[in-house]
Amino acid sequence: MDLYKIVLEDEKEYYIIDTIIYGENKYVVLGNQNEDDFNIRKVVLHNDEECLIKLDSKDEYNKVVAIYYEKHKGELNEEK
Amino acid sequence: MVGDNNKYPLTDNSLWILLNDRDNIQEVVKYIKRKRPDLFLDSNDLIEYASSLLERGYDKVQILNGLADDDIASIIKLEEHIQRSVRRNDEAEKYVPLRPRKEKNLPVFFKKLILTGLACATIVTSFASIHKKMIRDDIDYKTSIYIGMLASELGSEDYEHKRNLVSQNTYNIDNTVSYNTANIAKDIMSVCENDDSLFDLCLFDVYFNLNYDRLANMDGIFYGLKVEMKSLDENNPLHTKLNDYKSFLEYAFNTAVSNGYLEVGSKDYKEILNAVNNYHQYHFNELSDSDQKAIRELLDHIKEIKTNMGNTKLDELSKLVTDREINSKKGEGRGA
Repeated sequence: MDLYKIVLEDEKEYYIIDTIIYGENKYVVLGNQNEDDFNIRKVVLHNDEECLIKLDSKDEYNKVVAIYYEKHKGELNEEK
Repeated sequence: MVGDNNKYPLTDNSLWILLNDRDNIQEVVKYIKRKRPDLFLDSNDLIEYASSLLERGYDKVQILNGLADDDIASIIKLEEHIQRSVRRNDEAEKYVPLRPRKEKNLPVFFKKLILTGLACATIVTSFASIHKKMIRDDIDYKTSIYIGMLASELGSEDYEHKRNLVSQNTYNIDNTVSYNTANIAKDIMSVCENDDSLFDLCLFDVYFNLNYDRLANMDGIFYGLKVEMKSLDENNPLHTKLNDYKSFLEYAFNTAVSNGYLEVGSKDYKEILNAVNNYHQYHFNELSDSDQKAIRELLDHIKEIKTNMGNTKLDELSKLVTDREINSKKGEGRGA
């Protein structure tokens, strides 16, 4: 599978673990070797370029994470 | 006293706990706050977490004696992740260019990355009890689950195996004058009866293997599946899957496009888009108001994509979707 890396505003590199589509929005799930760095950003168009912004609310975060869980929960079972 | 505002709707159980255990809630809230005094925790969220712990069966004494510390540590970790992802009210919007760089090799800790996300998600689904009902009723949530599930199937390591399992079975989608949709439905059931996880893949596979009149034939297969499932126990998960099938085509379409399996503008793309629009035309009236709204919004979204392609047929079909008289005359279509 193809794996991509990006750099956030903290100058750290993050892997794009997954892309989630929810409603009309696209989100990227990001992480790196430090599991505390796990986070989710929304993809938007800004000045004709795809950019990442933080989410608007905890509710939005919960929904995206819940979708991520449904998508990958099988891998949790594999680890057991 | 119950938080600063009524931002969160309360379940009956949570309200009962709050009314009867308000002192306990306050003590637990203080205890959680003491764990990480540097971390900003919204007062409403703290009440939610505290009541969730009590709902889980801990009592105040157990919590204050540290027996719930593992759960509280998970809550704190979740809050840290949230604060990394969610913009605070006083924070300015920052746009970070996406510009992804392809990595040649998977890092050895990649599996751990996926599991970190799952750990967060497990906490959310455990502790966001107040939000669970809101999430589950959300059509966008259901759509995305389907999209994610199909994408996972297509990208999964055992996809080929499942694909073979599905296609080796007796539903023959060869070139033929007309498809026997009742038999195809029977064959799908024989594959899925003992493994309902194959159901969606079956429908996806059948759809793409039909050579003509996909809409009408899938409609007939849908009817056939309804008949076959009458004998199943009402708790069989296939019933729910079949109900979700109403929006199957849009899920498959969105998944295929977003995962690059369908090239925008290709012959397959145009055909499937057409089928999605036609399908909604036939069944629009059966859907709930909120589903109809969601489909209209989807069509508007597709329209934006199609504007550049200059497909006038989409405009005609969009008009038909909103013409309820045509929908009510169609009723349930039957395949050949």
